[in-house]
Amino acid sequence: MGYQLFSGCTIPSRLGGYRDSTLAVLEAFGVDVGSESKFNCCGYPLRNTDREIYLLSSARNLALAEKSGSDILVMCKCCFGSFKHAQNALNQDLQLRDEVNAILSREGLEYRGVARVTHILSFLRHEVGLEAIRQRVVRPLAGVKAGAQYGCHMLRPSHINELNDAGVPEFFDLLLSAIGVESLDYKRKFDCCGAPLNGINSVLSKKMTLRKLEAIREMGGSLVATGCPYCHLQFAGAVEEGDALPRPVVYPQLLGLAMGLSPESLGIEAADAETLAIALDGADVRQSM
Amino acid sequence: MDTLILYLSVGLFTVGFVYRVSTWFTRDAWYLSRVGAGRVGPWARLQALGRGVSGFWKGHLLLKVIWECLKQGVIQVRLLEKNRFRWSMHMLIFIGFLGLTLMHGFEQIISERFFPDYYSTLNPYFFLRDLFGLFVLAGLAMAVGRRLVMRRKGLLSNGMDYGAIAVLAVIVLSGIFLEAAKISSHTEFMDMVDEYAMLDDEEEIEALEAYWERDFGLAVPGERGAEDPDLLEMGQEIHEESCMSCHSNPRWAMTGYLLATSVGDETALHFDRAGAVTFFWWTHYLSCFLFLAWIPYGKMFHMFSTPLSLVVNAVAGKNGGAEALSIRRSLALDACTRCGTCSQYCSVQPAYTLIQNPLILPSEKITFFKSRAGQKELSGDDFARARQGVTLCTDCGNCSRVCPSGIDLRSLWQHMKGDLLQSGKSDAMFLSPLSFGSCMEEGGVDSELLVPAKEKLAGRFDELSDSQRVIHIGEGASENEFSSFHVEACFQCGGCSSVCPVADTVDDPQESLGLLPHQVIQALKLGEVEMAEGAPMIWNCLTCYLCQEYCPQGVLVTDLFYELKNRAYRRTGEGQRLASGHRIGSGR
Repeated sequence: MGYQLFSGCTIPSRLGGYRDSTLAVLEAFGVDVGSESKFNCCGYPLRNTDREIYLLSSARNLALAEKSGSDILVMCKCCFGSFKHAQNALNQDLQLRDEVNAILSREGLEYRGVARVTHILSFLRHEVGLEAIRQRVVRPLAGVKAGAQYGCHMLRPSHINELNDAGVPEFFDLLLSAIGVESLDYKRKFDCCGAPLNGINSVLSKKMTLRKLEAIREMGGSLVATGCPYCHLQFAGAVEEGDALPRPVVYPQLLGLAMGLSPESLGIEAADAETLAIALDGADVRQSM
Repeated sequence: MDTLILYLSVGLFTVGFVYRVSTWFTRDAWYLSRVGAGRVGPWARLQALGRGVSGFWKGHLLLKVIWECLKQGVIQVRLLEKNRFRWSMHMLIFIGFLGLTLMHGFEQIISERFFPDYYSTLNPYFFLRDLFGLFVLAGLAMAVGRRLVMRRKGLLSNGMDYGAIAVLAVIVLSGIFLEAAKISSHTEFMDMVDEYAMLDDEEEIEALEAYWERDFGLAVPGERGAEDPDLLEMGQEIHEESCMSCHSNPRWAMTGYLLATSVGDETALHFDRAGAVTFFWWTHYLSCFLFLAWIPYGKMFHMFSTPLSLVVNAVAGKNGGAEALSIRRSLALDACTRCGTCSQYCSVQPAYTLIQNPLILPSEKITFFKSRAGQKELSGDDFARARQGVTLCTDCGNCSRVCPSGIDLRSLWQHMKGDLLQSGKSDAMFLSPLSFGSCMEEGGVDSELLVPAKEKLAGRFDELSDSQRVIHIGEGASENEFSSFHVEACFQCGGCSSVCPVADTVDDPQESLGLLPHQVIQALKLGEVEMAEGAPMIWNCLTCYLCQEYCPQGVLVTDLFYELKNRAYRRTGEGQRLASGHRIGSGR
């Protein structure tokens, strides 16, 4: 079974470069993700207030993937966590599944529970593999220190999200070191970025964000590697011009640069290229940009 | 009489047209609240227009405008890129109707002036008229088919959508019936003979009649008996001499000819005597002018507003400041053709499936706001419905991306959301990552503005946290309500609270959170559900799942918090059903 990329809502509207770089990197590894079905929102933004709408939203996407005989490859950790939770709920509670399927059947869809959901970082780590990545790296980002943002909804609850990382997760650190980046151990590494509270309690939200960024800076990190639009935009919104806080970069862009792909193909805009060059500092990708 | 109707419909058209255009300079695109900052008056907008138009003479701007008119208005590139089926459908109607209007409708003004050999009954014009008519009919059939087939997939149609199709269909079909009636009409034939052929000899008329009956679909009264080759030959000679130079064979008018010959002579004669020609002429004439008069009042106004909106967007981009933006937003409301594409790609369509509030869908939202434009502030059910529709948006921008009319729908919704937020009238559903998009906009979201929504959901904590209040252990504790979250297993180790990053970050947990996570669980164990629901803790939860992950007893703490938020939302009246059966986010 092949994969279908699930872009979600936030990436197409606010972080197109994440999608561009993911596609470019996947293409370089010969992975075909085809074209996207007419997916809807994963339901995550409605979990707080309306579980019914959330579950139907997730189930409809899973049913669409099943109908086309593919698995779902997500780029957003909140989409990932929501899909996993919904799958678990629909697999445990068959009455709920029947209710959802009664609605889905109106448009000829059915949730059967066969489509798998994978996050791009997990895909790169386990299905592409570290060795394949190392072999493709032509410009290792040596000398760059970064903090990995694991993201809560990717990691937890671990018995549902099934990352098979016993104890302390390390897949993101491994992915970073595979391209030559020094992945830092910093305080609150596995904590939340603060995004879920942005708006609801913006002051608290920003406090959490800055605390993480400062912890990375304390360890000498110049950037924070992300794999989720919520985390990424949350960090991007907290840093200000001129401060010495690390800049967020989505991992596929770092990977792509290390693989010698052009910044244009990775969706790195001219304005970001400059920031990125400063953040990457010593790495020799700087000349290529 | 007919001239009077012409003037009347042109008058109605002009009044409506001027009104519609004037709204671009007076109207604002959002009507949820009157707070909306940055409102721009008509004078400032007119000045902006003046600046924009005077810029035409600089550089190649005029050339660009002409090029975009061609690209967007004639070839309709954007629609072609978005959807080939709809482009084909629209092109058939567009080319067919434009062809008919210019060649046939304005024959005295355009065809006769620019084509000296023009004659409505001569080829190629004779044939083209029917071909154009067929184009329109084919396009309309595709439109009806699409609306019926796609209804299952969430394409909503209203009276206006079918009305527009119906009016066009009546115009074209009455034209075809008129043509058919004329082809077989003996009365018409005799009139033409009198007027053009100037035949006096009865036998010559009979010969021509016979020839036209055989070849041209004419229905002649009375029995003639067997064909007479001499008579037919004579008829052909007369035809070639008197008729042929101005009248092609009606077979070229294929739709009318087919219709005329398929009904049979008897029926045709009957219709002719009953005055079918006059009847269909009036139907055709009246429907055309009804259509003309209706254009500025209905969705067909998009023939002006949509290309204009596309051209303005293509030429001006996002330039021009607040004044230009106000004009463009108002214009955008008119540029919607109600094709429904946005709603089919809407990310929150499942919410519509469950709630059945059409205002969740962008196409319905824009129709609704257009109908309320410039009227008094929304209230009651209308407001609740509209607010829910505006709030339930993940800001994915699909609607803007797929809109064949190039309307920046996303920025309209963002603006409306901002307006709601500023007025402190936000839906409690905004206390979720639905607000994230707004946070990323300039200035972010000031959470103070959400206090009214928060109080509605969690405002009961103060009285419940009265330290003098006696809690009777065991009373009201419902054993099973939260057992699926393993609440009973909690032995109050406090592990959840010690790993909670929120509890760790706030200065005064009791003040800002009310209860810590383990206390929320304890409250539930004691049956104090309202106390747990009202604790600000659950609304300040990051949903990071650390508590749940580290609970030694397997209590599903985070999932439970989600459930409590859902319950609070439902309990305070949010998300309840209206009498109409629709669920709506109103706290009244």
